[in-house]
Amino acid sequence: MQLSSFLRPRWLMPLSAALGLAAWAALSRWSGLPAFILPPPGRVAARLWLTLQDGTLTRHTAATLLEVLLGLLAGSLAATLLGYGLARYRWLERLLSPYLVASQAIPIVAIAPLIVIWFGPGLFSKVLICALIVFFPILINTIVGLHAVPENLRDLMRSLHASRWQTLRYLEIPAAMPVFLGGLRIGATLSVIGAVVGEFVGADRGLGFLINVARGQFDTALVFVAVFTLILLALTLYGTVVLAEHHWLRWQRCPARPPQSPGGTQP
Amino acid sequence: MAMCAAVVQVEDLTVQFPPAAGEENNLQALGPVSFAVQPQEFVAVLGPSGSGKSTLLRVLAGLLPPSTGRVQVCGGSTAQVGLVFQQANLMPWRNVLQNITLPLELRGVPQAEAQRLGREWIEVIGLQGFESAWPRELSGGMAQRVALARALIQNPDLLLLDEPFGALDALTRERLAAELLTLWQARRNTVLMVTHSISEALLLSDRVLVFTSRPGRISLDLPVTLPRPRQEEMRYTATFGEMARALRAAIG
Repeated sequence: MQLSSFLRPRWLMPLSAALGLAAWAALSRWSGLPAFILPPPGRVAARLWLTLQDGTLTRHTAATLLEVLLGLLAGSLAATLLGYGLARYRWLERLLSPYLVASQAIPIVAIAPLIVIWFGPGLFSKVLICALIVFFPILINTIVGLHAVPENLRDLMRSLHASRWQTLRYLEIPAAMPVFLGGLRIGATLSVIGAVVGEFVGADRGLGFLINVARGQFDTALVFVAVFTLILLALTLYGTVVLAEHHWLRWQRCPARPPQSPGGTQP
Repeated sequence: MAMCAAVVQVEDLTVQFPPAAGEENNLQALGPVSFAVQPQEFVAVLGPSGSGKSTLLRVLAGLLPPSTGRVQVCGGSTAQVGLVFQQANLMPWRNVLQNITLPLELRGVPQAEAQRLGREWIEVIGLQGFESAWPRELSGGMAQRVALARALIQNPDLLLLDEPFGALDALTRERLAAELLTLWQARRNTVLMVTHSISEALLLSDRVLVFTSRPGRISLDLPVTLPRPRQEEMRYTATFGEMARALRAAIG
C-alpha cells in the first residue's frame, strides 16, 4: 500500500490517534518521569478497566452527562427565546445588550463558587452553571441567524398573507437553523466545561468530582481516565449536533448546479 | 372573487421615500399615476430603471403603503396575489414540490390535495423527475419555472411579475416568455408584469403602460393589437415592429 492511500481521510483519524498513543508511551518510558506524574498508557488502560468493572466510571459519567444535557437544554431554550425577542425588537436589543455583553466579561469560573453557595452543591447549581456558559453563544447565533432571513422571502410570506406563527414556522426557524446549529455545536462542548467547573467547586459525584478525588490521592491514572471520558463525552455531544445538521441541512449539502452558460440548451 | 369594476384600480398614487443621507427632500419614486386593470387582462409595465415600476408592484402586493392616492385590489386584504420576483426566491430548505405547494399549505389545504395539485403543476412546467430536487440543484430557468408555478397554484386573483426573466440568459428568457404565453392563454389570470423588454411586453400583454424615469409617470398607454392566440413568430411581423418602435420612442 502506498503512503498516499494512508493519508485518505478515513485513515487519518486512527493514524493520528496511534501516533499520539505511541508518543505518550515513549515519553513515559524514556523520560524518567514517575508514574504519578505521567502514567504509561497501559496503566491508564488497567485503571479504566477497573473503574468500569466496579461501576465508578459509569456512575460519575452519568451524573456529569445529566448536568450537561439539562444545562444545555435550559441554556439553549432560554437563549433561543430571548434571541427571538432581541432579533424581533431592536429596542429590546438596545436595552439589554450592555448587560448581555457585560455578563460575558465575568469568567464563569469566578462566579461558580457563588452559584454553589447560593443554590447548594446539588444538581441544580451545576445545571445553572452549564446553562449560563451555553447561553451566550446560542443567543448570539440565534440573533445572527434570524437577522439573516432573506428580506425577499419575508416579502413572499407577507404577499401570501402568512400569519406571524406561519412566518416563524415556515421561514424564520428553517432559515436560522444553520447558524443556530453552529451555536449549539459550540454550546454542547461548553456545557461539558460548565459541568466540570461546577463539580470542581462543590459536588459529591461527576467526572469533575472524580478528578478532584483522584488528584488528592495522587491516582494520576484515574485522572487520565476521567479526562479521556470527558473528551469522549464532549466529542459525542458535538458529533450528535453534527449528525443533526447532516439530517436537517441536507439541502445545503447537495452539489450546487454550476451557473447556466449563456446560450446553453438546458431548460 | 368579490364583485369589483376592475381587478386593480389605482388613482393618483404617489410613493415617496424618506430623504437619503445628506439630502433634504423626500425621494419621489412614483407618480402620480392612475390606471385600472380589467379581469383577465395582461398588462405590461415598461420603463427605464428607476421609474418606480417595482415600487408600484410592491404597493399592489401590499408590501408598501401608498404615500398619497388610492390603490384598490379587488378582494381587498383577502385577495390572492401571486408574486414572482426577478430572482426565483425559492426556500432553499424546501424541495421543488414543497416550494410549489407552499401557498396551499399556508392556506390550510390538506396535504394530499396540495401534493396532487403540486404534481400537476410540476408537469405543466415540465419539471417531472425534479419533485424532490433542492433549489440549489436547479438552473436559473428551472428555478424561475418553479417560482411561476408557486405563484399560479393558488389561482391568484392577480399575478404580479417583477421582471420575472430579468436574471436569465437571452435564450432561456425567450423560451420562458413563450411558455408563460401558453400558460396564460390557457388560464387567463389577471396579470401585471414589470419588464424592460419591449418584445416581451408586446408578445405577452393586452396593454403596455410606459413609465417615465423618476418620478415614474405613465407616458403612454398602448393597447396591443396583435391577435390572440399569439405565437412566438409574431415577433417578426410588421405590426409588432411598428409597435415596438412606438414604445421605444415613448421610453425616450
